[in-house]
Amino acid sequence: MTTQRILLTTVTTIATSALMAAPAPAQVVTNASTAAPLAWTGCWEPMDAMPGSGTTCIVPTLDLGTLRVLEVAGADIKEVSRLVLDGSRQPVTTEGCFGWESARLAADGGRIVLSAEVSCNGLPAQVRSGAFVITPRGDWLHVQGSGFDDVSKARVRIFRESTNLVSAPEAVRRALGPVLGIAESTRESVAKRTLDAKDLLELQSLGVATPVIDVVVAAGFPKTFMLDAGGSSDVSSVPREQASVASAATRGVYYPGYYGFGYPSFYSYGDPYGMCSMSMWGMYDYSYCARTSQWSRYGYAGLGNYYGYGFGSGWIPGYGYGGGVVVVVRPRVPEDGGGSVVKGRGYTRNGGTASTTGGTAQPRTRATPASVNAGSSRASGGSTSGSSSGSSSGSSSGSASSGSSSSSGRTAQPRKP
Amino acid sequence: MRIGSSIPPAMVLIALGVATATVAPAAKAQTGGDGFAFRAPKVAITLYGGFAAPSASSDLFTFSMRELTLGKSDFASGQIGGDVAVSVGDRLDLVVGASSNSSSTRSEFRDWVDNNNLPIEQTTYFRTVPLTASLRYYLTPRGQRVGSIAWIPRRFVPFASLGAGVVRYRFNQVGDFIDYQTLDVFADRYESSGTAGLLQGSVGAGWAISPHLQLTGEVRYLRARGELSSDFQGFKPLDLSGASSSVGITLRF
Repeated sequence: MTTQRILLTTVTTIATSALMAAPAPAQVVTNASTAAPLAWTGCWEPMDAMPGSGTTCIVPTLDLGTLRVLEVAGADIKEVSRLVLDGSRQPVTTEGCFGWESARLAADGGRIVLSAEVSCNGLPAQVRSGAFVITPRGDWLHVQGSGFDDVSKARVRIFRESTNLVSAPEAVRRALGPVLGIAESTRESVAKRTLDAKDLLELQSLGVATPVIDVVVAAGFPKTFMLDAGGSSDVSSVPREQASVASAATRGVYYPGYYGFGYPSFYSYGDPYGMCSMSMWGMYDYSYCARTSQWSRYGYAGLGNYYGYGFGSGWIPGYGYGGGVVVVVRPRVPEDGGGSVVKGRGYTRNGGTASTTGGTAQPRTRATPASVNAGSSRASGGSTSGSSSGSSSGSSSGSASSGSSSSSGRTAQPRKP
Repeated sequence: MRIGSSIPPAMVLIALGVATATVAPAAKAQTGGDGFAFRAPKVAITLYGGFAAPSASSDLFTFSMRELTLGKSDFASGQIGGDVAVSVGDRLDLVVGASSNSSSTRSEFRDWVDNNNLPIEQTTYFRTVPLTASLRYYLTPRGQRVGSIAWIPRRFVPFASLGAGVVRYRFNQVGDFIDYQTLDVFADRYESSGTAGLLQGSVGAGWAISPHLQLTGEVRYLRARGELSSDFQGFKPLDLSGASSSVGITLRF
């Protein structure tokens, strides 16, 4: 069965499901290239989840161009967002905030780019950007940036595919069941895609914030970069050139063997005024409180609300127990191979085996000269000397010395025309 | 009769291509992705081959071309060279480089033959080795930063440079010559070598093949004059000036 047939069957099944109450768009897409959004479909558990915490499920719609984001806790399901992947601005009105959000599937299908402009509590509108990335190991990396480029920070949450769909509500199981296979294969395909210059330019053209781009790049090159959240608590103190990592509140809990990624420790660093938080793309973002919260400046915001578990009024799922950890990207330090540079020996490899090169020189034989004047002439047994005029700098030397030029017994005669 | 320069430029370029093709993938794996690097390069090493055309306008050249079957083009030669550029600004590089140009041309007296009607032959060897330090200014940005850790090279980047340095030179003629006093034909060798100051200007462009690999083309003009040894009496300083053009491979780190 071709991929297109599978897709058609899949969407047909979804369309017939009565459990997903929202009407599906009429357009039926059978082009396999549109399957990329399926990479994100499934149920996901945040790596920083507390025991018994909820799950985020993403289910497709008929046209595959829209993803429905559900919060699932026990038998409770709530659709918290629809990601319309065509880049169109969708209105936002929630939690005292209003504005718009948009989502766009990258041209190569390798990531979903998010942007929003939201005003909360009467404060000036702020721009947000984010990205959904499938990491090389198949996890869902959710990056969100806040603030302007020069001061912005990126928060990251990592979700791992839930392996226990049995406990999911039947509605979710029925919605996801038909697409699980193709979602898995699509996810594998997307995970294998490497970020290239064209992708970067696309991110830039879409206005994705610098720290978000950095995390997206770093996620694609885990052998080169790490998202280490164990650094300074003050992100603003970390020179961007060093691309080191800082976190508001982390403990030594590391993403297993991969990113060296620290996780928020669920301390409630959140909004001390309790009025500014809102969730965006799965993260609570306290930086909306920029005028009221001293914490947000240092990136503490967005990590807290441990006690806020529940559905809240999530715009896009945010479970309240964490808004992601603030990170910047740090290059991995290459391993020391044990070699050294030894004076007199050059570069050596491990074990001290020096590598040297050498060569030998041979003297150059020189003939004995005469001198050239208006015409050539033989030297008459002694060294010749002369001077030349000129204004250039430098030195010159000639080889005139003994003048032992030899006669061949030949004589010259005019060349006949 | 021209017997050419010591190393054909094509061979140099082939060798450079093989070397860089070997090195480039390793560099890519460590320092960047497809079409981008993790930072703007700080150092660039260029190896090039090309063609040098000396002005050959001083009176020793004129004399040689008048008496012997030599022309200006006989002093032209292939060129090999290399330079190391260190970025000292967004668009500015400090470049130190060296090149070697040498020609070896067989000739005979234009108006004389020996008593057996055979040509009176000799070889003229001319070599210059400029060592230069230059400031190279890029007329457009060399690339663009995306985020703070990705850098995408600009495909085509023109540049101009000015520099100074020294040139090592050697001019010699070896073979059979005529004693115009006696019309005897004799074998001899005349040689002058030394070091002279130089000024150099160039224009060129880079064509990015990858973030770490670039094709570089450059046209240079060098101005210098070198003193002659006592082998060449009564002549003005040797004209070492000339233009050259080259194409090379640049590795950027």
